[in-house]
Amino acid sequence: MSRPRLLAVILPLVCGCDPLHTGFDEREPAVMYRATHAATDPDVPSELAIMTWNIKYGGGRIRFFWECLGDRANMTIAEVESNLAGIAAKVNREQPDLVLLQEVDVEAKRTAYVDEVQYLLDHTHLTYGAYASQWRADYVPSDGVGRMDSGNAILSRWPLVDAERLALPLIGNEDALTRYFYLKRNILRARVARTDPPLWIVATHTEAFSDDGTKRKHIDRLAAEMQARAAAGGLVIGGGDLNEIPPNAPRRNDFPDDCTSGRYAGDKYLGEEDWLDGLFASFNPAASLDQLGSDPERWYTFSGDELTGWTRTLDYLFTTGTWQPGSALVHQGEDQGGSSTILLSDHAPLTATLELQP
Amino acid sequence: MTGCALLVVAMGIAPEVPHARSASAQTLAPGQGEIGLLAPLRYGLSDGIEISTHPLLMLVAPNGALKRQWVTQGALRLATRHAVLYPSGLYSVLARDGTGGILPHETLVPHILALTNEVLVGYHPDSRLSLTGKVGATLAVRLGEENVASIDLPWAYTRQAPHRRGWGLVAGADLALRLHARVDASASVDVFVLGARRGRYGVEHRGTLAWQATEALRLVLGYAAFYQQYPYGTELNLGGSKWPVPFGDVQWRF
Repeated sequence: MSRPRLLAVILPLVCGCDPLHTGFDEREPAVMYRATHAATDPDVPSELAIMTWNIKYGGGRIRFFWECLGDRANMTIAEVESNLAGIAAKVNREQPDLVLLQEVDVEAKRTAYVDEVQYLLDHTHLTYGAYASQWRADYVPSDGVGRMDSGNAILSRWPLVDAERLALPLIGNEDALTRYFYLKRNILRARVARTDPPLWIVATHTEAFSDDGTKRKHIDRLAAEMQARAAAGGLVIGGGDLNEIPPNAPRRNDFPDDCTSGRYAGDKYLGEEDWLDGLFASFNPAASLDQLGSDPERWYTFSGDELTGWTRTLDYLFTTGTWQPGSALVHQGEDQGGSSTILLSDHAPLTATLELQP
Repeated sequence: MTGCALLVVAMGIAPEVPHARSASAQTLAPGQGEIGLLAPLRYGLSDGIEISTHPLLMLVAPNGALKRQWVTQGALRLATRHAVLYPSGLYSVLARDGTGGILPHETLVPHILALTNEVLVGYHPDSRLSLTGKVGATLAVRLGEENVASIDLPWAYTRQAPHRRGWGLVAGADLALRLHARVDASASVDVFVLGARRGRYGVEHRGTLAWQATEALRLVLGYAAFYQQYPYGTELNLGGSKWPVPFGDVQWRF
């Protein structure tokens, strides 16, 4: 038995089932938040502005050790709050009613233990939040990571109810020790109170680094959960960072921002051409396949290198309802979105307007 | 390297024999020595003077201590303990890529010289009881570029804080009892005050049972509990667990 496997067997036996609290139940309640500022909930309008954004835990364009030419591990409070201030400013500028966030830290050494969900609620017009961790450990004894709690969040103008964390499958070919300490992806599901019809948000951040089909399982589970919520009645919005490019993307490997000196090799999406077909077939995408195919660069949401620019689409919004025609937008910069976002994260925010009533 | 870090933690936790314990105001008799797998090497240099060191740690963190007994008045004892530690090498070892990287690999470790001085007041009415109170301070001088992050773990955090902030205070009490001819028990509590903006104090409690198996060999079992304020908040033990950390040691007298 290899040493990692041996440690992964001995550690739980000696210290308890999950000594460093890295595990999750299959289903468990989400962690709920509320802004510290008092607010009167507004009336629910006939249209809702929706945003999804992977905020790279407020890391901006700091080069971390897992990135190309990166060597940073931890940020100072000043760095975190400065970056979050930029993210909050963008959210305040766009005034979304609901925000799906990925890579949000709530108690992590790398972000000076700043609770980023609370920060964003306290510095934006949004009042309510739900959080589901996807990487949690009392201590990660690797790369100076230390304490970690990072995951997905939903921010809302109105109370969120029935919020749950649904576990997604783990990567199948990781060694036991890595699996114990590393990411455990999830679907964060919540219902927005006071909407009529009931409105469900199904948010996720699928696996990025698997080579055994785990990412496809995550995408399929997203679709299944959205269908289940729709079958139970009500309107459903689903999406987030799916770590997958559109079926008709012009390029599937050799991206201009690929880097060979980072911890992870350049991304390849070969053999994944039909992985998003189920979502596009079953739900209404904010950006249609025609739009993604006719002008793909306009929909790029990811940039591994701010000097190279946006290079691919990884973020999506789908609904069982109807998007306002022409409302979808990837906020890539001043010419498209009104303000620069490329330094705020390695992802750009995607927004679209949902029609609540026909 | 993870094993090295765990070894360091274990060395700090492991106790010594009652009556001539490192935690007491008494010293080993001249020519008498003790060492454990985890406990430090201690030697009675002369009447009322004891020196000690952690031999294994010397490889990465040169260290030494001297305890001097100043007053013996009936059952009362007054002693001081003076320790010096150069931990820079240890922090450099802990700063690495991948598994075992307790600190980020890009950590800039300065030269650190930490001096700890303690006053120990003991009450030793007979061979069965030892009660010691202490107050102490650690001052650390740092030279060179630095960005050493805190190690937010029980035991490690309180020992490291003075190295990062320049100072730390400790006050504590130690009780040792002879339960049987060959069985001793002890309990101690230490309160740390740290020179940190966030994570300013810690309380540690240890309990042990020691069995003098032979004249020279002693086996020790114990536990350590921690209540610590970290930069992210206050926590009991590790992860809020109600279970203290168990430990054991094998010690020799010579």
